[in-house]
Amino acid sequence: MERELRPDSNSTGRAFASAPFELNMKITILFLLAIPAFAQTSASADRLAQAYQDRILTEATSSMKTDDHISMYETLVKAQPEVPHYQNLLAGAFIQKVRESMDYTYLERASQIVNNVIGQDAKNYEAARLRTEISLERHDFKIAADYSRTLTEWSPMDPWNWGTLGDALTEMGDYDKAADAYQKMVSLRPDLSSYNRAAYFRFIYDDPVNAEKIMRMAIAAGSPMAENTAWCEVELGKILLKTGKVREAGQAYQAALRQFPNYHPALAGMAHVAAAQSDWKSAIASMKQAQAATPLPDYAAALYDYYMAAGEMKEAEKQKELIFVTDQVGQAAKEKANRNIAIIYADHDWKLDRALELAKNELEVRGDIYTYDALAWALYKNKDFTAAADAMKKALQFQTPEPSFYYHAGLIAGALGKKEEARELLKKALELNPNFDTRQASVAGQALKELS
Amino acid sequence: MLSNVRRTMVLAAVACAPLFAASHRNGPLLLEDQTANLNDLYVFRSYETGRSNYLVMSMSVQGFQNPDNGPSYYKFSDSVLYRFNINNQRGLDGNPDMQIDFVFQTTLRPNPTFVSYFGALKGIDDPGIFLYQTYVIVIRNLATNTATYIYTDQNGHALSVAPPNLGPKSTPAYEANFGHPSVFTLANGMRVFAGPRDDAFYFDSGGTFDTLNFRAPAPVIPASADTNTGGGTYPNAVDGFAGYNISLIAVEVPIQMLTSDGTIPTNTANMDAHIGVWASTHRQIVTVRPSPSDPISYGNYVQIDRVGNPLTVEALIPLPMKDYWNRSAPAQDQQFAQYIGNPFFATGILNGVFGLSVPPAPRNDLLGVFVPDIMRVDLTIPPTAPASQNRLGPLAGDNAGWPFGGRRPIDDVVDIGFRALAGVLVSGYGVAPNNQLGDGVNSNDVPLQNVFPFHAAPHAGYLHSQENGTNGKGTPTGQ
Repeated sequence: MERELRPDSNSTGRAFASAPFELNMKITILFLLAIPAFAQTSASADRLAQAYQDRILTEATSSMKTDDHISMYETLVKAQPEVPHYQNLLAGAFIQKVRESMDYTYLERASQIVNNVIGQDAKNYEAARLRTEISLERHDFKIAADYSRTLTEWSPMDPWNWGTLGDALTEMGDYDKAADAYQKMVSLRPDLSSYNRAAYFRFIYDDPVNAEKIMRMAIAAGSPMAENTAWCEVELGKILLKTGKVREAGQAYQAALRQFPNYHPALAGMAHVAAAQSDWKSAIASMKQAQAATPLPDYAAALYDYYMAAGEMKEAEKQKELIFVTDQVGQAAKEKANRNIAIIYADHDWKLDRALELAKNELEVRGDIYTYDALAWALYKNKDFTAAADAMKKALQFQTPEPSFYYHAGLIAGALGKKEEARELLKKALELNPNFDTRQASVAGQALKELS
Repeated sequence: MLSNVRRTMVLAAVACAPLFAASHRNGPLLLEDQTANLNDLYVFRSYETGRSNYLVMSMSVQGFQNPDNGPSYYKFSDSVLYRFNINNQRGLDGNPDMQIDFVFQTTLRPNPTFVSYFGALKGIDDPGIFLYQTYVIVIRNLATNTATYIYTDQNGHALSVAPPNLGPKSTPAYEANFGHPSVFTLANGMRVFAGPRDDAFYFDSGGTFDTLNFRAPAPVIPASADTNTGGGTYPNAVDGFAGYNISLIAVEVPIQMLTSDGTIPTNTANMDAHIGVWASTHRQIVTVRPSPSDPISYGNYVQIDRVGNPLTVEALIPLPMKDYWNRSAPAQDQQFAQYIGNPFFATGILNGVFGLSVPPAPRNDLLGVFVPDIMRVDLTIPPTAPASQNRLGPLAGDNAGWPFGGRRPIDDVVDIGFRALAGVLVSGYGVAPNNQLGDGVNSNDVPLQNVFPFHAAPHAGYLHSQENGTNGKGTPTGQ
């Protein structure tokens, strides 16, 4: 008979109900502030007060938007700065906000809070878990792995720690140990968070059929946070799109947008689906919406391709400029590693030396197959074909059904004179999805023709 | 051109505030699991006319549903196995002898709209039910290791989930057109229902969680308010669950299908006359690595949540142990006896805060009910006719209620529970004020039904309002 949850799977419902939620929030805060006064009347009532606090909080907040969470926890922290639990809740809400907005100033705020709590109590478990998440967001993967391992010793039955351990190891390219960690996670608790990780591994290990099935299980399992379910819908869309199921991918992205309106990765997904059907107008419209929500360089690069395909050279140039400026700002901030920009440069034959630098440096941060692919592609464009082939071998070690991996591998093999192998690889890329990329798919087709 | 660059600089500065702009896969991590979360379990001999030889079992999931939660509303999860566990042997040791599983499947019908239901729906087969859910029932006999799969009712109709009660335009005469038609009779004599209902649980949760700020004086309610249902509610008490819906899964089973000897028992001294029931939710383990030897690659089911008696988790299991308790099996409940036999709620709150005299530990009266935590039913106790039922059940001489005859929707498990924790079932403690405890709410916000599935029809989205509180409090739902 548990009632911690007030499930609310769609934000439309919440928007309509926002006024009463504010009222609820105020009432809840009043309740919570009253509890310690009660607790002082009886020392032994402390435990009950804690239990009530947790249940009231969870129940009151589970259907709130992240911004409402933040303002509520801020009020609590202000009123009772000595309660670390509230600090941790606020930090957790900030991290969720990073997920939703990609605004990393929230990560810094979360980090300050967590460091503060840990500074006063090195064994604060909640804060320690959040610190691991923050390290992951910062791409301090080795540190995140170490933190996670410590936490699995503190609390081996908590699936969360096995999840963050698997996440860190995946980025570091230690797939075997990551699979073990994820298996522990899903065996302890099959739910949205463990299923989506298992699905990802199935895809990495060239099992897209079961990857799709398991991702659908993750979606069916659901989360009180609408963004979490939408995130899995987007991941499902990516799996489907990479394996050529364009129409179904569109449905998945649409489902994500129903769950969590204006969700930028879902808008970008809709753009990819439109582009795969050469519907440049829709592709541009969706991608511009995604860019307005979060101006990622990947979105600018996609827009560049769409505008070029639509013959709007002037608009395309603006996007190109934006990418360059983004990189300049990154350089000014001493950013050395960025495999996304490396891929964009290599794709378009822009600043190829910078592409190689960004990809090589990324390898110092992490050693997963996507980093090896970016490195291989940058090496190929810089005409270092032998080194490119070595890196590509690592990227394709599990035959992951990424069309662009096979495309890159095909061109590299072709450059090394391995014509038969090149043909097979390029064929595989186009079999997976003949429209896997606005520009590169036609390059692949052309190369295949020339090899035949 | 320059101004253009400046503009993009600003944009880019926003984009690149972090030093780690390249993406990584940040899969969500969650603390709460809404779809597998169980609320209440009800088990009782049917008091519907002519059905006294049937046992009703129902579980509620996904509490606190806003009736107007469009456009998607609530649904059962396709990833969850919902299970009734029945223990009918070995002196009720908490091991299941029979299980009745519900597995749901969602079909999204062709939908030109953004909503899940549209138009004036004509019944449970209307194509305007875009989000259409059906279920399969699996009856498992663990002694013979056999399973029976049931896909349709006795007439071949799919076992479909009742749609939500949208309002008078979309779902007119809800109960007649959608509620009752969603009760299916199976070829084996069972009846089943799955769909939204009013939450029959009633409790002044606001007052209690406001640090036991009962609206009745202290936790002791005056005699004028300590009556049976109907008119006795303490004036200011508020049912915190009023106006909310739950999703209900209900079965009505011929009693002889549930007993170990296949009879309808008549002698309470006979061990076969007693069964224990609990509900649980499960999800399937998947294997992370593909394996050629196991093409389906899916593993065992893992228990996510369970519920037997009311109040166990709330009042008896310490919060830090909650997850562990939810994952564990009733047969292993002896490990929790130290908490249940010496509950903090009795010593710390009832005695410590309110100064009541409570029985000393170990509380064998509680251990007999809560260890293992299964809902015990003495099948020889005849059901009490609706007009004679008492919310206090056995505490008021109505033995067909909790905790002797299972638990009915009418049972005031909060007041019974408070009093039982205060020791009224222990000789010498059934005295004032221990036997006067209560939250002041004595009945559900809307009338219960006297026919299967017994819970009232769901509150309509159209009538729902959070501003005036409780969605037409006291108004029968489903009309």
